[in-house]
Amino acid sequence: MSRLSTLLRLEAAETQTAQDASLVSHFHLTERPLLFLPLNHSGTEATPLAVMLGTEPARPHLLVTPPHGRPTTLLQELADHVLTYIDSFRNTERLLAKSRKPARERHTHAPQLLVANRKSITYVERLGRALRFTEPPEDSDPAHSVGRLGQWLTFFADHAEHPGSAFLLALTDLLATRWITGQSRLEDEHLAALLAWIDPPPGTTGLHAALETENPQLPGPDGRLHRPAGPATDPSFDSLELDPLLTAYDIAAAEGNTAAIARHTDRLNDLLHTYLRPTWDDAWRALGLLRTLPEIPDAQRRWAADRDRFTAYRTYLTTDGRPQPIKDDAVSAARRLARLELAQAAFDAHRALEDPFFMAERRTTGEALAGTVTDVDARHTIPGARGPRLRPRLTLHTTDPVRLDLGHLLAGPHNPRVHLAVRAITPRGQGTDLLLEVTTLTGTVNKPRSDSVPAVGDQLELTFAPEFFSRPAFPSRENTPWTHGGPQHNHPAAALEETEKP
Amino acid sequence: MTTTPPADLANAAVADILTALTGGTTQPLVVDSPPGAGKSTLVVRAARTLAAAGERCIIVAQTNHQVDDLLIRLADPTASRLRLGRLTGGTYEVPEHVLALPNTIISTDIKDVLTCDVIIATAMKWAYVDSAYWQWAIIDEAYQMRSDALLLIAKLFDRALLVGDPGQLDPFSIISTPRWIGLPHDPLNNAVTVLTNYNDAVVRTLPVSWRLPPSAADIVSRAFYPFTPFQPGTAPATRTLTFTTQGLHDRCDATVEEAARTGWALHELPPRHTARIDAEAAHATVALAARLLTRGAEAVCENHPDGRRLQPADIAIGTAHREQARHIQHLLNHNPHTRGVRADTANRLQGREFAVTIVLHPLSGRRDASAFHLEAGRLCVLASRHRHACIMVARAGITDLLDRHPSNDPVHLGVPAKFPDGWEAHQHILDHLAYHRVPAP
Repeated sequence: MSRLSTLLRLEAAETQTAQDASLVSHFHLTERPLLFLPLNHSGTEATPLAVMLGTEPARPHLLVTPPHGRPTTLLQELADHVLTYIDSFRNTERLLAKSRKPARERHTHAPQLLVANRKSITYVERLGRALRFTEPPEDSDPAHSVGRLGQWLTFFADHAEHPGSAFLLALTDLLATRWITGQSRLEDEHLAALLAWIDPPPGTTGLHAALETENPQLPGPDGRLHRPAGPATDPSFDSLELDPLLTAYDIAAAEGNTAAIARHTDRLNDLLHTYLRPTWDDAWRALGLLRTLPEIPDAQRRWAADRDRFTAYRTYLTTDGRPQPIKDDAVSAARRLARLELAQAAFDAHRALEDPFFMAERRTTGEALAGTVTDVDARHTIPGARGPRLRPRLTLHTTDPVRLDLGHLLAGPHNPRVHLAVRAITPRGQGTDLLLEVTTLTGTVNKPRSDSVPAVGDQLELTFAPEFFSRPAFPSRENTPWTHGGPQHNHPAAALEETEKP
Repeated sequence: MTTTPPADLANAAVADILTALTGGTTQPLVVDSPPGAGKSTLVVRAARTLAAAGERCIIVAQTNHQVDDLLIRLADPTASRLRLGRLTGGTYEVPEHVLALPNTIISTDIKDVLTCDVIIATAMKWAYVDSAYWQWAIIDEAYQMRSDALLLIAKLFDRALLVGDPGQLDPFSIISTPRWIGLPHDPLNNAVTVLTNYNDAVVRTLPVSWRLPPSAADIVSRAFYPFTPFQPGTAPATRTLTFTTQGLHDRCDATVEEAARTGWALHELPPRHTARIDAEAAHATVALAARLLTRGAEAVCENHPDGRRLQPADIAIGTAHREQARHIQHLLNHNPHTRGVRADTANRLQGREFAVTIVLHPLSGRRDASAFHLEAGRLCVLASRHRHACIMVARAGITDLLDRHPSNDPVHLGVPAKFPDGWEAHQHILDHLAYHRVPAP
């Protein structure tokens, strides 16, 4: 946590009111996301007890595993719902070939899965892993099978790990970027309590609303019980409500009392509906709050890349279609890590350049600084292979602590594509003079581009520029070297990786 | 205690490694080396031995600084001549004194240096080379190298000598994911671990630290290398640190005098929970560096038997976090006495050597002891960079903090338990520092 967010958290605790943090949205929120609220059977791994899902606030679909039954029907219904949703995105656009990319089709819209909290993202991953190797029954369409659902859930979970991807998002994460509450990050993971802090009912403070809401035994300020949003169920619910119901069901089943069996099955549905419905409404309320935020331009760029991956994965499913492997082999692991690192660096850099709050936060950690231009040499040149190259220089005076090294490349929100290299750092007075050299968009000696060079007196905010560098190619799987276990053949990851090219 | 002189022990170990190198083995060789045990010397001798046997080889180092350092040693005019090649990246400016080295071709293109006996470059640069092949590669600082970097260059050779310090920090990534934990080829793991997971390697250790003074070798060996102990290469009287001027008899003087006399000092500030940047502690580190310099510390060692005045470049200040290092560097640059003293994180001080180090203790002022701050490698790097003395600056109360936070890292299948345990290593060092405590009000 940065010093700035720590201070805001203290202030929120003291004033009992959530504080504004970032005022923009870092992720594209689609028009028709699928809200997905899973509850797991306590004591089991990836065995859903119930799932509430849907794309419309007024029409939640509740799927429930029958008492003491296997979730087979639930999973088939879940597959139907999710795969129909994914299938509904059909429109594509034709993109023309660009310098390095060939011409291609891309979906104009793509599915987006929203879950209540981070634990649910892990649950999606677990469920995907448990399901994606399920063989489709004979004479059934593999495109609507539980196995295919597992593949898609794995696809979503893999992208939740990819920095900046908006395929699978946790609402608590999004809210906690926008508002800072006076409770701990761990407590922020409870969607109802987090919302109570952010949007308390009139006449009460965030703190009191949250205290009332977070008690799973007593109704909150809105008169409803707010249970933990899952995937784990509230233990008191398990022992006080679920367990007695299942015992009653067992007795009815032993007696062969079909009327009682039907009644208890209905009661289980009602019980789980009552459990999940407040979270369902909270989630849509959260989404409503988040939709009022303007999106940063990078969110659109990243969503476009996401749509490319969606198209590529659909193509993969029709051509190859094997499930994602259980484990990455040496080459996939290294390639994936390289991809994630690149995405993380780009995501962080763009967030700082496009969101003033992140920039401010970086200033407190010394990764960014602000200052005044005191001197400009717009005609400065350096020797190049074909004559002098224009590299305008400027001096920036700052009173921020300077924690940079020579050679670092900086960029600022005033024009993110202009990169400035640090050439000298000199202490002056209580502050520091930085000698900066413009390295991009300078124009030529004869045709200088003056709009790339700040003027004397300009106020600049600068942080590390997004890095663009080519990376050496990893060996192919067939050429995995002796240090990493030797060649691997015919691995599905080879075709899958094609779907990951941004 | 053995009575064999350290030099003989070290020579025997090196001779053994060089024999294994030319003995026609197909197994990779791993040399575990404690801090300052002559890794670079071994790399240079191994390259010379291979060259003498008519075998051309490549050397892989992790940073340009390490490459230049090795290149200078390889070009030693008093030893037999080698044709040397140094591959560089396009943006790296090779320092003047490296450009002037004899028998050395420096180029960005592998074609220019292919005929050389020994070619040296960073791992990153080697990753761009293909369609060339060597029998042997010598990989320096292999424990600092991530295994995905090894994957990129392994096509270039089929035998490898990996040299490194297992007690130091593991390589670093901005991505933290549990996805690969326990896999034999975890790309976040270091190169040596992955290589030995797939191959039977011959493992050797170097038994003598030439850098660490006797005051430090024992405790560092005990705390961080419990299964591969080493001994100091110098006798206690060989290294001394004295002051040419009288001090002010304040707490800073008490600390630097304790450090000069015993090789260790704990400059203990009053207990307090602080944010990452603890202004008081940062000022204390800078004040101690300034005091060492203004009092004209005179360092005597085997290289300078007549003594040598301590210069700013001989002192380093080590921290756990980058913000702390940058903050302290800022203070150092604004103090006329301390300009030229370097403040950096443990990650960036790895492999470097200084006369005196001042360390901001990773747990100073913290409320909790997280895995990051407890990591044995981090403390090991910070406590083993010095030739004369190490001064720790810390808030009081770390012992209580450790008692409240026993290490509770999750255990993962397929991941061998790591020794030494960070929590235990911290206890060892704190126990030792308790004898060198100087309370600073």
